[in-house]
Amino acid sequence: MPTFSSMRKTYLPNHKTFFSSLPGGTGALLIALVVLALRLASPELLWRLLAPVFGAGEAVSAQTRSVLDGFRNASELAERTEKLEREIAALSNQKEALARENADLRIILGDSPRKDGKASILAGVVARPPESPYDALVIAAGREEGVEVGQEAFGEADTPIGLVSSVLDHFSRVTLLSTPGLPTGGWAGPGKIAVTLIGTGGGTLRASAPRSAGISPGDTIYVPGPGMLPIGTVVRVDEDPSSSSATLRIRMFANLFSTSWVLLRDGGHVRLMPLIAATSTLQ
Amino acid sequence: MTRAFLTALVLLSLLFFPWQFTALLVAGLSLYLPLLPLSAGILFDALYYAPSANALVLGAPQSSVFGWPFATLFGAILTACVFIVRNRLNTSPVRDFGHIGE
Repeated sequence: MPTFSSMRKTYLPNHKTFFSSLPGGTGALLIALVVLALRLASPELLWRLLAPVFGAGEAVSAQTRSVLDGFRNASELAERTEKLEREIAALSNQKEALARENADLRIILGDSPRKDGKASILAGVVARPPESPYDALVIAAGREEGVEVGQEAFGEADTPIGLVSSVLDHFSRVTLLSTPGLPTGGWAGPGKIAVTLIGTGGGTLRASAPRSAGISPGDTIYVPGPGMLPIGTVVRVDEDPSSSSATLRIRMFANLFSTSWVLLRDGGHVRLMPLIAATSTLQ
Repeated sequence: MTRAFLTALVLLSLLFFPWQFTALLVAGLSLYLPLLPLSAGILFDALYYAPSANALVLGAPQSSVFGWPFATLFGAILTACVFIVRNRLNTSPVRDFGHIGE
């Protein structure tokens, strides 16, 4: 086949070194393997190194947000502030109502908040969704601070959000109730219909309830705890005319994407189906 | 230099940005850096995967891909696909256009 000079490529002297001959991404693979080895060998050290990095990311996000807010229209900001103040007032009223109901139920049940006298543990969140796709939180409290597997994690307004699933010396992992496939017993609606909540990821859950139960969007979902603890609200009810049950789509009250702290307390075993001890070396 | 910059960008996005953004970034750069999807997947799971969470689902079969280290699995699959594509391009008759990333 005749070749034309315009088709030829002029090659400069190619001084390929060993590193440039490796496939692209080799450096990234080495870094990933080092991190994996660190997690297998010393997960505590890994999270000690990463915690400040995640914290720096949070600080940059907060700064960026405040800078961008400065460019917004003043009237738009005022309107947004007013709307947020109304929401805060509504949530405060709801919280008071729930606290009264909680106190009444404790009187009825004869339950006290801390039977064993152990205090709650406040822990900061190191990593959360959406950086993590596994509906889990990494928190900066571990064995040394009294954290144990099975403890229940609460977010703002004392809302249960998950259970401690693994513990290191100074870090722990909280598996959120919205973890895909994770079942939790609970109640739905004003009639307190018993349902099984199944996590569907991203802070959402689903449950099946009889259509005749009359559960509608806006109804509250509860889980066991000291009495009944509100965990979320029904946002949609999917009904199939050929079925006698309806599927409830539930969103948790707690905003998992901005949670910066959690409160840990004993009592998760009340709801937790028997916990099979994980034998994996990955903590 | 470009490779190092892109690699650093992906590693930082794993820590600071939503995983969907990171996945898009990795998919876009995979043809240029074929080992990047596997690396990102391994790093993702090294940071965030919690196998002990599966223990909470008593008696239930793995009903969701999230029960497995899916980032490593998908990264390995994407890396394999990229190598196959690169190999086909490099051996194609139009060789001048087949040398991607070199």
